[in-house]
Order: sequence, then C-alpha cells, then structure tokens
Amino acid sequence: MQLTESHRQYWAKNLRITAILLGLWFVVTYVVAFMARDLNFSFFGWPFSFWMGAQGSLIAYVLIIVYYAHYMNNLDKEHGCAEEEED
Amino acid sequence: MAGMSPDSGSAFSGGGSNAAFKKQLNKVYAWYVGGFISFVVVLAIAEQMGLTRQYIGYAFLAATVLLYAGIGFMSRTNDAAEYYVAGRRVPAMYNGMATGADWMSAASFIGMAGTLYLTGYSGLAFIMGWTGGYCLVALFLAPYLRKFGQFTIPDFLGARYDGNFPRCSCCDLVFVCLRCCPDLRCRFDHNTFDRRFI
Repeated sequence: MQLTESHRQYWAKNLRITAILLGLWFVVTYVVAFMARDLNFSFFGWPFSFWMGAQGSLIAYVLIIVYYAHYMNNLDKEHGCAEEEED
Repeated sequence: MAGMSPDSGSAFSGGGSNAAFKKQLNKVYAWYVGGFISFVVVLAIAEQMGLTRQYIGYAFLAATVLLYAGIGFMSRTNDAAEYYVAGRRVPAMYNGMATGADWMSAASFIGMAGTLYLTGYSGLAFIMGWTGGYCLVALFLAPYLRKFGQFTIPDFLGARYDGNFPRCSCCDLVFVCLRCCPDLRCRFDHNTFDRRFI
C-alpha cells in the first residue's frame, strides 16, 4: 500500500500522543513510587504517596485510557480510517 | 431458541447488522440481570426458611457452572472470529463492563485486603501493576491487535515481527502469568470458589 501524506500525519500524531501519555503513565507510576518517602505529606488525611498508589494513579490510568480512546477516535475520523458503524 | 444447526445456531451470530446484534445483547443482559436478582431473592427466602449456609454455597456454585454451560451452549459456533472475539461486534461499553468485571474479581476484594494488611505500601504494587498494565495494553497492543485481525497477543507478535521467536517468548510470558496468578489467588482467597483464570 502506498503511504499518503495523510497517513504519515496520522502516524506522527499517533506516536506523539502515545509518547505523551506514556510519559504521564511513567510519572504517576515510577516517579511517584520512587519518591514515595519524600512525598509523604498529608493529602485528604492520607500520606500522599500511599493515596497515589491506592487511588490517584488508578484514576490517572483510567483518564489516560479515556483520553487516548477519544483522541484516536477523532483522529481516525479526521483521516478517514474509522471503522464503519452500521447502526 | 434461534436455530439448532451447528453452523448458524448461535443466539449471538444470526448474521444480522450491528444494531440487531446490540439489541439481542441488550435482551440477554436484561434477562441475565433479572435472573440474577430473582435467584438471590429465592435464596434469601430459602435462607429464611432454614437453608444452611453450606447449601447456599453449593447452590451458587451449581448455578454459576450451569449458567456458563448454558451461555456456551447458546453461543456455540464454528467460526473462529465468532469464537474468539464474538465477530468483533461487541460494543465498547459492553467490553468495558467485561474488563471491569475481571478487574473486580475475588482476588481484588479479598486477596488485596489481606495483601495490603500484611505488606502495607509495597502491596500497592499489585494494584498499580494490574491497573497500569491496561495503559500499556491500550497504548501498545489493543489498537494494533484489532487492526492486524489477530486473536491473541502471541499471534499478533508473530505476525508483526515475523517469526516464531517473539511468539514463543510471548507464550512463555503468558504461561508465567497464568501460572503465578492462580497461585497468588489461591493463597489469598481460598475461601471463595470463584477462582477464574483470566
């Protein structure tokens, strides 16, 4: 298949959003866990690092996935490679 | 029940449009929810009338196994795409509910409470690991798995990287996960019968 300019743009945007979201994922997972002792201030009555592990990072994960799905759906439509829905 | 012939006998195939499939799915879910609620009510009444706790456990176990068998019987099919991914027609919301149900397994509720009690902050690695893993799947695997038209991750890696080595290494990983996960769960929730391998 011959790649068009539209395909290239699509792939570049795809890589960019993946990299950004993966960076976010890395921060809420590894950076917070690595700095856990320093981030021990109280947050809603819980030590912040513990709250992040139990709830905060999970919320961030869900938001990452929701945003990715939303963004990619729009990108698919924009570049005409969405799956046809026969509702 | 729709048709008894082996190739098109599935209650879910039917060959109709996506809209018809979704309507059928809604109907099945409504029946399931109604059936589950009435089952619980019947058991509650039976308990008031003196059914022992042990028999309630047996009733739940038997009902679950029969239900799975019934679902398997109703959705039997010869088509590989129907068998593995329901013809790739299940709406996103339903797939999300299924994923959520897997997440909220007995291990999450009973096992994790004990793990956190025992290990404190370190135990949160389990929670972050199996939720954060969804991010990696969503960003790296799921969209391409679908576009490549494969059913399993080893198939996809074999097609994508063209060879048996990535395929085998992925199989090893899956094996390790499947082996460790039930082990962990058995250790933490041996008083539940819902020990699933997903």
